[in-house]
Amino acid sequence: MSEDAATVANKPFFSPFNIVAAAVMFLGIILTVLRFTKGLDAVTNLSDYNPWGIWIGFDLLVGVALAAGGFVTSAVVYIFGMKQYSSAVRPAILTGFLGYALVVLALHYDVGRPWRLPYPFLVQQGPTSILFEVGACVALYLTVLFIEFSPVVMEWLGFRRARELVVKLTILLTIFGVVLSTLHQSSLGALFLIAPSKLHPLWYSQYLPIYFFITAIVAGLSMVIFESSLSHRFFSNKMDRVHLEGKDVLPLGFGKAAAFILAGYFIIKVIGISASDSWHYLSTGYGLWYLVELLGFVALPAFLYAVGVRDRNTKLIQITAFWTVLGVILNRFNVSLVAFNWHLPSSERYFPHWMEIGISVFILTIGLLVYRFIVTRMPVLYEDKSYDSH
Amino acid sequence: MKTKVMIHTSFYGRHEIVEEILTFQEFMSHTKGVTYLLMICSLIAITGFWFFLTARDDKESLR
Repeated sequence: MSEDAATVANKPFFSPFNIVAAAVMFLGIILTVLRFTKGLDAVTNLSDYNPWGIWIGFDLLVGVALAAGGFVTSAVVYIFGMKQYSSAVRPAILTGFLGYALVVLALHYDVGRPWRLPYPFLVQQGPTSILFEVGACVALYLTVLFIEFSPVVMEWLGFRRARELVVKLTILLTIFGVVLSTLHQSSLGALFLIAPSKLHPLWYSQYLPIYFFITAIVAGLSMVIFESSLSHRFFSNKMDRVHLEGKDVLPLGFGKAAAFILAGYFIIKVIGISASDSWHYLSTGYGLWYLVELLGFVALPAFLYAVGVRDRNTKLIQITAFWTVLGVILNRFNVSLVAFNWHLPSSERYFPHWMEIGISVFILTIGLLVYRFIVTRMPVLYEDKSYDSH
Repeated sequence: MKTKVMIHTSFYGRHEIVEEILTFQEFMSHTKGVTYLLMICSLIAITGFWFFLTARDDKESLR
């Protein structure tokens, strides 16, 4: 028995994580049957006022933002040539691929009728719609991520020649990834430009596409740091020397970039308030909540990242990365749910049904289980020495 | 000319007259003026932040 197989065999099957995951999966399957047999009304609190709930606000908007680590890391390594971060590429691309795949899965719950997924491309094109652009970019980028990640699967399966062919496409795929991500990350923000009367003036801005794109880069950097810290904690036995040595290099480099980008983001957020002359809203209840987001989840992490980088304090950087990820989640929730339909009476406001939350947790759990399955079997956190590194 | 007065409800529930902006021209002049001033402050601040972020890098490279 190999060392890896022995490690897997020694793990108890009925671990707390497995038991909770099994319960969530069981509940999720029941909710899925309910959703697709009884319709949206049976499992959601969606209405004509609030047609987009947490399946869009969390599963799609947050999912796409947090999956940005794939294009950010591959751009850093293959376009900017910072090879010291190369050990982070495969985990980041895996997270990106799973993130986008789960976004598409979650979209099926919201849209329904999965067999009509290709309709926007094959039957009824809408090239003047931002939503069409988002759909097209997500479909293309998911394909790019699949091809980018395929060498890992090919190494695992021993498909040497096919792997060599795909590796030659690395730069091209990275450029495709950056272009497609730039397009659809910003377009997700642009979706809300159509609703100036529904979105609170503090969150509504002509710069929404830029805000979404910049926060996606920050989310990508922070997510890679956060995920790397979790991998070092739970999968260190799967890592080779290069990955283990990268434990401190990655947070310091990515933390510095995240600090500077967050500082720039803070500035253009203030510029946005100034351009729309929305200062007077800051003294309202929504204004205070906006300040919590801006000061607590943008300015504070920018400062903490900077202190962590100055002091070479990787622990502080990892905690800040987690805080920043929470900040991006909060921002997407604020734009799509909290500040959306802000003028409506509280009786008409949306709060997710527990079954909506259950399905989101179910989809997240699928992601965690697939990630663990792949990382414990395929060369993601270590390099297969029988292949040339690329 | 019809006068447009911007009124908002403050945190304490009082209605306050914030400013008088009569035309779109005035609105743009006002917001752009404030934004330009903010930009000058921002450029100085981000330069300071960059020095704060990288100060110890420079010291280490000199050693």
